[in-house]
Amino acid sequence: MIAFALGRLGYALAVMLGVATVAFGLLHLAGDPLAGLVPPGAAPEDQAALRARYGLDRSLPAQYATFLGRAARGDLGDSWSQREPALAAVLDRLPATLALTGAAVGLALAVGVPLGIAAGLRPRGPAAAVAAVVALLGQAVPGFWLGTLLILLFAVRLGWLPATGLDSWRSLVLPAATLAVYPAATVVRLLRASLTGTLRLDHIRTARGKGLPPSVVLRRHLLPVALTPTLAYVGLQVGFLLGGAVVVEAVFAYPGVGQLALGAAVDRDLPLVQAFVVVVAALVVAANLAVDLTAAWLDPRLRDVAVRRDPAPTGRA
Amino acid sequence: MATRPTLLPQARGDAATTGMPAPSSVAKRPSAPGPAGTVGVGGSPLATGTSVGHRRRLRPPLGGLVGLALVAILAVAALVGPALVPADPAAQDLTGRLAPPVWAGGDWGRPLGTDHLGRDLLARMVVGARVSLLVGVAATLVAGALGVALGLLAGSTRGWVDRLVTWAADVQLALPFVVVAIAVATTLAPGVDTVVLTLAVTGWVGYARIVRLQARALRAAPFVEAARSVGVGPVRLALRHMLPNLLGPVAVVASQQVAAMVLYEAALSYLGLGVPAGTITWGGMIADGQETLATAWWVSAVPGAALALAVLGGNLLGDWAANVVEGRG
Repeated sequence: MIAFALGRLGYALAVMLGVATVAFGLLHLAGDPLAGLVPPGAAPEDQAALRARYGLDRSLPAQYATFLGRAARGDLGDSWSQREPALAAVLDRLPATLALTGAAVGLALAVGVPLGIAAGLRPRGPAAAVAAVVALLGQAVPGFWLGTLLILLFAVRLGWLPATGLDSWRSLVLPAATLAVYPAATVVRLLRASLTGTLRLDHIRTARGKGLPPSVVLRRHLLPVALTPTLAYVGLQVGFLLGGAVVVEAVFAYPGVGQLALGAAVDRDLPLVQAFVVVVAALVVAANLAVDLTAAWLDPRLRDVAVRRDPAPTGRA
Repeated sequence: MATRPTLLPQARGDAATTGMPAPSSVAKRPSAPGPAGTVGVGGSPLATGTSVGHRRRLRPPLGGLVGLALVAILAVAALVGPALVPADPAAQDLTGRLAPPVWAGGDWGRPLGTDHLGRDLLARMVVGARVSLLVGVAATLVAGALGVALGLLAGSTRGWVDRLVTWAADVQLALPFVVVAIAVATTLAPGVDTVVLTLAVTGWVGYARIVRLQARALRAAPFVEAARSVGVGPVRLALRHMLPNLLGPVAVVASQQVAAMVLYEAALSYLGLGVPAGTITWGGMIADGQETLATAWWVSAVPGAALALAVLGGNLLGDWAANVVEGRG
């Protein structure tokens, strides 16, 4: 297990090296990285000074080495639009986004798990019909549009909840509900399919055959098998959720890291965007690592898979 | 992962759609000898699987037909709509601002009402449908081509090439599409091509993974081994002998991805990261309508509902395609 964990950790670092390379490449993707920073008509010597200040006058490999070296120490440069280190600016906004994402995941599980279980157990029952609608609509309705409608109903018409900003937990309700819709639909689909598949397994037949009450079969034999791939999948969707959070933050003017990054894109503040890219990717990689290690801890068979994890444990039933 | 999760076949196949009577162990009520009457095809567990399967396959599922209808409406609207709707989508009419749609007291001259600049919403909807459809299809094709090429490369080689592609896929998966879009918007000029590029770059991994795995399995297949033993080179082997056998799963991923791409394009346009300002898109229309939400809800509700229906249609069609390709009717 320790060898497996170290191998996974090493691979996670290799992925982060790739992410850092992409972030570095951003700076040079569009030609002159200073194009948006230098005022038009600036004197050549001022431009040269600026270039030297940001280390842009050196060769590309030298810049790359410096960037990686600093990034490894947690220094992603200073934001061009805000007078502070880019990483600090991102980390400053991160808790708000994590609160939003966490609340959304909790909500998605709170709705999706019971509904998915009910639908999986009785494929022709009323819960299954509700689940089918949730699964279909939840994956089709655009979050940014749903958020708009929720603002219209709960903030404008009814006045129950604030439409924008972040003042108290009440500000979190509408954005979290909006962000939770898609993952809730996914959880319903996966769990329904996973249960349907698990119900056919031999050990369930045996458990029933020996006369266990249905509730015990469900709790002891069915859920552990059916729930694990679903939870693992949620863990692997952290990146998708963080991406969705950016959109939802825009709808609700929620002061999270996504709003910061959108502003940085408008300002062409490359160091800030780089820090955003690296931080989001680090969260995704860390979540994937956690899922892998937990899964391997629970199920020793998975430890043989060495470094390469292949088909993600998605909807396998 | 930026794409809509490519659910394995089982994910959709609860007993009602697998075309097979569920094993009796599923039947919870001992009185019922099986989930009787799966849509009236005599779903007794005693019915032979094949005849039920065949008959079910002849009749397309309701969801698939609804999806087909929705996508067909979208396609027709995008192709001929702009020719049929007389109004100019960009013409402003400040005296006729925020006119309601017909069902909310508007007039038939402007069936879906107008926005905050008095522009005809129906005319804008059909023009916006073009962008949605164009970007959705183009991004799916580019992502598919990229993913199939890389997956085939990784699956038909061993060693560092394979590891490099797998690593690149994992790096890509660490970068959600909105993040990539923000990074791209910071550095590149906005445009339809930029949006397609962004979506394709974030959408190739699903294809690459499935193609790599299938190619790996195919390498051991007798006909591939036979071809190799008579001296077929690796490139020809991959393109002529393996690729044609991989297109089924690729088509499934693609059919499920188009709708997601349409949704993502709208999200980018909504955020202002998409096509250049001035281009009419559904996402942009939803954003426009947000300012007048309290007084004129329809300005963003109409494009939003159309988008939801389009994505729903695409998803239903994609699921149907998946079921057909995987032989579950």
